[in-house]
Amino acid sequence: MKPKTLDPKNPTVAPRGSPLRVMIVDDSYLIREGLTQLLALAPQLAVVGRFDEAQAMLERVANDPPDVVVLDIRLPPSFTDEGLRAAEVLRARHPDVGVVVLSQHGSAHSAARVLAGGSLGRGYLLKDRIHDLDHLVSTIEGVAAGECRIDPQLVDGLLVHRARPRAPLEALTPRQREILAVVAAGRSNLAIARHFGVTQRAVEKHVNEIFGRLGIANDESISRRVHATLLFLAEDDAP
Amino acid sequence: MTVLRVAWSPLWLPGIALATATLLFATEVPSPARWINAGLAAVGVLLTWMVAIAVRTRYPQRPMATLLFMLTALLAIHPALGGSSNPYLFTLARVARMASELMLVWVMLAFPSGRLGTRLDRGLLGVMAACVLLLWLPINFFTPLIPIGGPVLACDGECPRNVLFVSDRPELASALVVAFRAAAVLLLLGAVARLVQRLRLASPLMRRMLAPVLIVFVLRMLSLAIVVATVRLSWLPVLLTAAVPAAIGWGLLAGRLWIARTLQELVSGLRSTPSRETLQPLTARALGDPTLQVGYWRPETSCWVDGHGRELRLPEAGNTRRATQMITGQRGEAAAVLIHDAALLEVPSLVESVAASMRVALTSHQFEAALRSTRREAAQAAATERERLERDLHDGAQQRLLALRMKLTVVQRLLDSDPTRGAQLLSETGPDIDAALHELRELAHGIAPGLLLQEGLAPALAQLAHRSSRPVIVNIEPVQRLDGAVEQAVYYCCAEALQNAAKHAGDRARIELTLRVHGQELVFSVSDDGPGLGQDPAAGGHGLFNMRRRMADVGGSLVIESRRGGGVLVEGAVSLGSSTRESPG
Repeated sequence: MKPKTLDPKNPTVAPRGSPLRVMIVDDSYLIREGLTQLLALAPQLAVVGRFDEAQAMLERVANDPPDVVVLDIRLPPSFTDEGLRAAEVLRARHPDVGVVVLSQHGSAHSAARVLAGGSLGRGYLLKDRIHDLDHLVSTIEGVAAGECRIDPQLVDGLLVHRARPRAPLEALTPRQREILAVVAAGRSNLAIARHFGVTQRAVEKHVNEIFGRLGIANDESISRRVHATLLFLAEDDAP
Repeated sequence: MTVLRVAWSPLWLPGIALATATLLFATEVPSPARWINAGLAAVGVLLTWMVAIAVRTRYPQRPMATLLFMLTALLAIHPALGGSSNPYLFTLARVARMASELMLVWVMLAFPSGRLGTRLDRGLLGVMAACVLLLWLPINFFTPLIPIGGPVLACDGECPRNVLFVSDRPELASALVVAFRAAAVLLLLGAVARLVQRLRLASPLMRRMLAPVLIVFVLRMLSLAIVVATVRLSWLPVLLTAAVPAAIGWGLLAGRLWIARTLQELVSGLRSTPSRETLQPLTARALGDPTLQVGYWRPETSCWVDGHGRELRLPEAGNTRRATQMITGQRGEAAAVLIHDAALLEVPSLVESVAASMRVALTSHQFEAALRSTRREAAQAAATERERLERDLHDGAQQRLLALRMKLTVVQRLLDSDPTRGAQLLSETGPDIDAALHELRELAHGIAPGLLLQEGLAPALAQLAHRSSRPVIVNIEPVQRLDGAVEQAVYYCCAEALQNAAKHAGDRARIELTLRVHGQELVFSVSDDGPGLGQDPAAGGHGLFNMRRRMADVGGSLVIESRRGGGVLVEGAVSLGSSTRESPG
């Protein structure tokens, strides 16, 4: 899948073709209602189903697959990781359906689990940020286009809020840390080059340097390098 | 030092006997052989006497001491009166000599307790006594010479008259002598066999105590046989008579040493507070009984289990194994037993001492287990409570605020395109914030009700009853302020009980809440006249457990009575004494 080019500054431009079909799964009526009202403002998206648990959603997806499912991690009956398990089922049964997982408490481990079988078409969004319509729409669209979108706040949190700085991260320059955050968020070298306004070649050099210092293998596949970076950052956060 | 608390009369007996012997001896013509024999006999008497006193002092409850005093007296009579020229005293001395032989057998068979343990032993002794009475005594009727050699007084044909003599019937007398000797040999062999058998079946302790006695007994029997056969070495049985009390003393000492070592080993092993699994081998090793088992009562399944939790059957009566109860639970029921070789009971004090030492270890096991489970329950309850709080926060206020935040985004976007709709949405945010505040307030109330913190139990309970989903009859006395923990425990129990009543008692039930001071206690109750909890174990099961735990945590008590068709009464009490809050100022 070739990523579509997007204009992150203005996602509410008129849609090309039919709107993206989105399903919402959250046990809270307030959240479902709020998301629906919010997404109604983005004409390029259409909410085609709302569910308070995963099973009903899976049945509907089997009959009428949407482009993206926005899924809370905590769902009935046990309110632990039902959302993550539903995402695994979706990956197995409907690999073309994008999944954006909503998490109340950002955790690199649950993010890594979302990406475990491949990061393409997977997104991880902090619930505290779902009011940011542009970010929300950009994430859904990116995931629908087969990209990987990890909430940059989660990555920032992993980089900044560390109990004890780890030697390898200390060895990175501030610029390199900025780039690492974007790598962890699932951007390609080209996207990173545009983001920072540098050449793709410069980004490749930076990324190679970063991966070399951290001692993790640099993979051409975005999915695998995001996964590796997340796991590396999550190591210290392990309980 | 052990204080002598002994009847004095048996102590005087040998003393009087010895004094008499000395007196009589002084009047006789002395000869070196007789002096030696008399000296040996005196040593035997003295030794027996000392052992008898030692046994009476150490083991006052055992009949053994009495047997030994009787033996001392009989042993003393012989040398004391045997030298007399008075025919009556002389005859008495000879009869006493035979009686002391009988007494010796009795003492050995009954060693160490003094009781004849089996019917076999009693039968053996009875037959021996019968032999003496029916065979040996009649010999004296038919022969002028008493047919027993005196070690002290050989007589040499100048013995005083046999007062039992009736008529001279030498054939009858010698026939009786042969019969008596044959019977005596058989019976003595039987006694030896019995002692060997006991030695074989005995516990290690009993073996240590019995061995010296058995050896001396066998040696003495052999020496008697030699004397009877050769009429020489007559001092040997006398010497070995003195060895009997010595062996008894040695056996008792060896037993004590063994017990001391055993207990020392056990106590030093228990000092490292062994687990249930290691307690059994430790005790078995110390007691020298490899088959020993330690059993624990498991009330959940009403059966005994070993240290690994495997079911254990207690031995039935008459078995060679015995169960000794070691520890009792709170209501006096057996909580742990020692299943051991019945032989160990030959020294009941040993089993008791071992049980006492182990009781300490086992009690600490019980406390540890109880403490562990209480801690676990408390930690679990706290964790459950925190999870519930997190869930309430997550489902309630948090979702409301997230939704509100989304609504504000929508309003912001609509301000340009659709101001009317935007204004309408904006006006909804006020009630949304009120709802979030209300939820937060409710949650805080659930953690610790504000009114309880500010005003104390009585107003808080009145408010609680007022807020209940069913009407509640309130009967609340004003009470003083108590410790926060006590107030919260009482409040929580009342809240839980009211909730249960509202849930289970039915729509038309009469629910009543009371709070009053009774003596030094604060008493509260929640009652209803509903159908009762019935057989439904889920009816507030966890809640009831939590209520009991809460009250127990503050040293209070809680009783829950459910009468079928007669409602539920939850009544709790807690002491006012230690929990009154210092009034400020």
